[in-house]
Amino acid sequence: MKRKIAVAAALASVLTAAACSSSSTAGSSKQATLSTDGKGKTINVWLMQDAQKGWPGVVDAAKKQFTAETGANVNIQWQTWTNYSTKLDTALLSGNAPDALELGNTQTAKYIAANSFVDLSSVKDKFDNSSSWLDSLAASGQSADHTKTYAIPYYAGARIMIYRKDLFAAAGVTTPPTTLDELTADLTKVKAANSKVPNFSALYLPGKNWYTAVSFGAGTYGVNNVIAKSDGSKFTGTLTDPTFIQGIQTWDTLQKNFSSGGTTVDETTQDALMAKGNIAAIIGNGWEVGSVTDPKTGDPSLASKLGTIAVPGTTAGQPTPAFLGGSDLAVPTHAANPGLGAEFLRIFTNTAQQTALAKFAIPNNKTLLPTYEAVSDVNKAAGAAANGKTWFIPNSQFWSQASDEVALQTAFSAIAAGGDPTAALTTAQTTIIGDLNGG
Amino acid sequence: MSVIDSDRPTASAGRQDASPKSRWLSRRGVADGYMPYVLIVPAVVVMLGVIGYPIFKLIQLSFQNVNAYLYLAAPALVRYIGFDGFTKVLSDPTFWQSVERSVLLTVEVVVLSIGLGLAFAVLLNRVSNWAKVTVVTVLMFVWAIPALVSGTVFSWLFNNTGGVVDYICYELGGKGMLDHNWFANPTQGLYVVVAACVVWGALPFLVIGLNAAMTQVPKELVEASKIDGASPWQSFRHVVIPVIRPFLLLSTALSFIWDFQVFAQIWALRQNSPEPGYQTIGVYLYAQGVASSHYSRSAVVSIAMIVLMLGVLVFYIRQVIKIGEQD
Amino acid sequence: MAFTSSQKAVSTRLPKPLKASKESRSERPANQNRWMTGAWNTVAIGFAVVMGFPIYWAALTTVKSNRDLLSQNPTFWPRHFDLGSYSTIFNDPDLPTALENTAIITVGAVIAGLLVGLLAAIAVARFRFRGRNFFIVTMLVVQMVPLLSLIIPLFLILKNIGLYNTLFGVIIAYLVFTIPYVVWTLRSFIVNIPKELDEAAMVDGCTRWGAFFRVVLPLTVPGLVTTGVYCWIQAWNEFIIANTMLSDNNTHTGMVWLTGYSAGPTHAADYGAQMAGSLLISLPVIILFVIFQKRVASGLTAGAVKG
Repeated sequence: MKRKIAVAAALASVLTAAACSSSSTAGSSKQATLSTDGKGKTINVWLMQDAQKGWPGVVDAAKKQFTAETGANVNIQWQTWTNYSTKLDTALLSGNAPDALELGNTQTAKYIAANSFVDLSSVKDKFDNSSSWLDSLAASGQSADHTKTYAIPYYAGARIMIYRKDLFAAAGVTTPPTTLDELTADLTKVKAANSKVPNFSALYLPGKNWYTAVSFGAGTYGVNNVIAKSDGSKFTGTLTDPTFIQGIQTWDTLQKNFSSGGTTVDETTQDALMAKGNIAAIIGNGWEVGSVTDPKTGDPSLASKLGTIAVPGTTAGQPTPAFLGGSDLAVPTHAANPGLGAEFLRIFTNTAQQTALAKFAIPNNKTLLPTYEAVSDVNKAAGAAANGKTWFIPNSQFWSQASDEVALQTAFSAIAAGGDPTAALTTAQTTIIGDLNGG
Repeated sequence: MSVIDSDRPTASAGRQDASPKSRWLSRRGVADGYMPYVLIVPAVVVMLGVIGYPIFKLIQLSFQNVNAYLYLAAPALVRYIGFDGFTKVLSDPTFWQSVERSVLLTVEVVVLSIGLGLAFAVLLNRVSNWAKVTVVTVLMFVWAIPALVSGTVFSWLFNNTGGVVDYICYELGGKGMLDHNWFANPTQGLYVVVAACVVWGALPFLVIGLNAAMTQVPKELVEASKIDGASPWQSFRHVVIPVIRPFLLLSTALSFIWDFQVFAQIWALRQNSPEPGYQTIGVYLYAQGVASSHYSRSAVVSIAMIVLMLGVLVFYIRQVIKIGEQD
Repeated sequence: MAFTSSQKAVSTRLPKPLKASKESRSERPANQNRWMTGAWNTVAIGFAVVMGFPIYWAALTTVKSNRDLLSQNPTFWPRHFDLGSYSTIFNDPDLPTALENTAIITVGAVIAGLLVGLLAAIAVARFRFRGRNFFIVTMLVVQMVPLLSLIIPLFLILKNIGLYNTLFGVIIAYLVFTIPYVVWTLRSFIVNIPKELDEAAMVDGCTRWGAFFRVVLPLTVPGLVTTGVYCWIQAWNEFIIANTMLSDNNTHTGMVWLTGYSAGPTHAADYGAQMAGSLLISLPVIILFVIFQKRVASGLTAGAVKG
């Protein structure tokens, strides 16, 4: 069965490659992988609304530069994340695929395996900072054997610990914890000092936040082959590995002792709850600081009271590995102007644009991390998390958000509610391995 | 009695014989021969065009191996695998557990929503105009709210940290209810919260629709039955119900079909990650099928769903055909 | 306006007992009923409060901040109104386009669905023909097909006929769920209209079509309104097809626009704006219904008697 799939995949590459080369000779005027010949043309680029809301200036600058350089116009078609995977499944088949698009770094593998993206390996060097791309992000854009590059890293996100400096100080904690043991000791003090507050969480760890739970597992297991490992043709699970379980038990103990009311929920309401004042610390993205203190969504008076650090790990200076989320950019094989699309991506991710982007999100490379970290303390923590060890989901075309991520969320929610970690993770592992091996 | 009926003796034949006009009408029977076909042609054309091919494709997919995006992108890899896809789904215990949950939830929701729908449709005929306008306006608001949004709102209402429902239960005397977690136990979460959300969303259609159907009930018949000494229940049972019966049966059947497929509300209430205890057939279809690019599997599940629904609705369908024949 | 004249046509041809019914309705025994009506009104308002509460809660979130969304002692009345959510959505440059697209798609799908469906409903309710039962059952089975699993096939069709990424293509796709519903529901309404009425009209010199337009159609209006409202809401609130088949900025619908306020990887959800947006988007259908409600209530249906 497994072999059959491997053969099928190989065959598919050949077939689709053949189909593409024939169609490109017939149709799209044989554009070079990077093309600057765009007079009178207009390219369509799909970007997520994150850019529209967060860094429209970066997009405008890239558009201007691209038009000046190639003579072609750019139409940005803004997309939203809801149901995006179904939308990609269809759009990438069609004759009207965009010339370049953004997608989540957990979504790339299946399109790469199906040869739906143009192979950009030959021009990778022309992309600024491509030698220092963030490891996990760069890996998500590569073929399963890591020999070819199909997607360009765009920006990253890493979770950090956001805590109430005032509540910690009131409990006698003035220096942030550097190890998990210190964290436990500090949280115990914070919890004791706030024992009268109903539903108080010294550290809020919602059961469905699988990113954070797995991070603790990766802290003891290691960041490679988290969740599952492949011997080239077949995946085996690593969720039930004793060293992984060990980290999960740490997470579970923290969750049981310091988190209240979050067993069956995910992290979407944690900012609002923190703004309410019932939570002393959360593990979240850097921008959540803004959301906790936003006058409309949160409490502005907390602005000076929030501190941020990378989530402490087992030893000082080695934070708990973060999940490196983020976005990639790719050129569909069915694009009308693939060369121009790739050229736009080159400009959109060049040093100038990424430097501007670094004000809002973790840039795609390590070279610019200092620029990002210089912006604020929050960024400093997030940059440290991204620059440290990070983990990523198994690189498989069969990874499914709706099935595998839900299985993990279910498992950790069950553990948080008092279930046995090994039993819960065994169930999740059965689902995941079944999916990954093409069951 | 339609004109063509005059060719065949039916239940209403007596009435036809009594009227001398029917003979005059029957001369036009030839034209009526193709008239119904003319009338359904647009619907048939559109349906064949828009859904004929998708249904064909669905059946085709169910016998193929398109369980990854790869196969969609490279049609040359697609193989027919016979009933393997069906065997796989039908031998999956998770599938049958989902079916069981769906059946239970559907029965609960259909009974509740039809019962409440009928009660409030009757109520609307007895209230003052201003009260009716108020109720109908509220119902329209409820109806117009998309399922995903109502799921979000219900997840706030039933939240365990500061949810309003917990607060109201607490104020009403439920001491331990203040931080009650409605979702911790899937039985409670599914058959109380999800059911409440679905019934809430279903009532506007049923109340307004059944009320519209009741406007076809002749008042003097109801009044005559009252004069004859019938209790309100009897006159409802023997005068109102027969008239609204077609719509009542129809809306029950449709409610069954819709509730059996329920998905959006559960998905939103469980924050896009329903636990196994919340997996109904609609959720199974989405998570294991469409959203995972398992297109063949989702075709198999869809076909299984249709067969299951047909199995339940076969009596209704026979009923409908009979009603059609009597007319 | 057309209705009033046709209604006259109906009432002049109605058999005697019906006219009597109109008179008897106006002289109800009043005293005892007044007390009962008061009791029923109370029940009805209680029902409206329970049904309306989630809507009220959604509306509340538009004027208070996210952090009041979940609070230990929920506030049932906002302490201060913050209209920021409304300024957010009204200042969103994409709102007018989204509303316009939704309106075009919805009006198209509803009109096409009602027209095509009404004709077929008349056929199955009034005629007997070979293939009729098959047609009826097919229309029911079609409604059992989960829309989700039709996405890929529908996409392939629209792509092949060049309607992918067009509003017209989505209108066509929506006919999948509007037509079968209209056929089934209208059929049940038309079945209830006594055929004697068509015949009486025909005897009076109307043609078959004349009889239909002057007698049957007016009596179908409550059914048309009910099915029309249903189709309207389905089309108005549909998300997956609209999101999958339309990708350009200028083709986004209201529902797609709303998801822009959901949480993303670099921003939190703006629930206030999302709820404000969804309430705003639902207003047209409510206004529409209120307009038609008068038509329905004006006694158009009083005469439909069976037997």
